[in-house]
Amino acid sequence: MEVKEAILARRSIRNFTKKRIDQRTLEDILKCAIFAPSAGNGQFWRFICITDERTIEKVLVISPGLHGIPQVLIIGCIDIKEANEKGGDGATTNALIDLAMSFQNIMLLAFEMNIGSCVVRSFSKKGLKRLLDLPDRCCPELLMSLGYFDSLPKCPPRRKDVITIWDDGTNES
Amino acid sequence: MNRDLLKIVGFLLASARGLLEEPKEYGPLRLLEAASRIIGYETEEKDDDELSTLKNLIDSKKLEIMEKDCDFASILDEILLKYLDLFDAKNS
Repeated sequence: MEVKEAILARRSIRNFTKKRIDQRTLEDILKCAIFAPSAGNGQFWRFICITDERTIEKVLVISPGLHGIPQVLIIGCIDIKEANEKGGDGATTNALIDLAMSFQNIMLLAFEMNIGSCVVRSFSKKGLKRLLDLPDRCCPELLMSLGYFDSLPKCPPRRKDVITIWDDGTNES
Repeated sequence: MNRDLLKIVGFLLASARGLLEEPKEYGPLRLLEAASRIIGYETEEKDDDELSTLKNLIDSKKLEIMEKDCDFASILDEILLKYLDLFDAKNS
């Protein structure tokens, strides 16, 4: 699958099949996550991958934004302590942007493998930290559900008026 | 308390906290989701075609709301009217 095709065809998936995602596929996906760019090459992101059914169930209870029953959950966290110590002003904002870019890598590779994904921020941060016994420095920011899918939802309309191309007028359209 | 209902309680509590900082449309969506889950748990226990139909309607409309630019209020009205049909049928 071409990158452009994956970008244009990917959708947020909220219904998953029961097919398991094997360990090697998961490792491939996570490898692509850590190859995303990051401000100052900080890499203050942390990825927690949950495949255990019972833990997934618990996370679902405190994550109103998640739909369906995924095979895997990936929790994208920022190491706030490291970001503040090494990243300078705005480090945590930059780290959040970096995390989002890494999640896009995951979504595109997963989609190529027929694995659907959905990213949400509607979850209880405090609940998740307690559930997973995360240290104070580790702040969960994004949550992604992953699983194989049977069908793709239609593409919602895209606004064309959000793009401005500023040129010198010599560029033929 | 039944474990499934306990899960709904968790969902509602997490929603309550999250909604303080989320778009206002998320509120009705969370309530729809809770209604769907409650029906789902009930129909898992015992078959009920009418309830299942209502759940299917809620789920399909919920996805429609999330994926399309549509008239949210009309959809909520439609679901409520279906619910009233069911409520009347069960109480007649």
